[in-house]
Amino acid sequence: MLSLAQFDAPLLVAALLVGIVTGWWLFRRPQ
Amino acid sequence: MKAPVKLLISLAAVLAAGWIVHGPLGRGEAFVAATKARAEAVIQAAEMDQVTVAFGHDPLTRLATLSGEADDFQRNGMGSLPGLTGCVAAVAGVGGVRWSDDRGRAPFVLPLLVETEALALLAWAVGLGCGWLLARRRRRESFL
Repeated sequence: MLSLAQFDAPLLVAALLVGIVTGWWLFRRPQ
Repeated sequence: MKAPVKLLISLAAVLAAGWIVHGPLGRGEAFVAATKARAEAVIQAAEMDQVTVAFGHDPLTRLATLSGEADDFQRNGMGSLPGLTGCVAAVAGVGGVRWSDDRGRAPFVLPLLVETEALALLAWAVGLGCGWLLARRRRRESFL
């Protein structure tokens, strides 16, 4: 497996952000 | 929108981003080219210019295939002296090493695209957990 240091950092950050937004979108409490 | 649909849209976006970066943007090809240059530098440093190194291109992999004249000692070393196989395997980015005339099984190395997508999915899953924490945190009722 590729080590994180060798991995494409912008893609990693983008995937992390998409995950955060999705998690918030899925689990947010109704107002 | 239902939760599974949201999840699928997000998953598709991450997988598409991984593929675009790997293929059309050429980062996969550039990664393998840089790894090949480092492996060639190691071979030159070992003064084994008759040996060449190639990486899988269809699909792109991190499996280095060495070819050329080298005896068993030069290939596999002895004791604490690593041979060319060990030296190339230690190069950053190399996932496995085989010799082109070796009849044994080649080490199993996943295609680079699969490795890229797997790590993108790992980052996405971590982000999903962070998003869950953000969405579920208790709101403060007051400043006191």
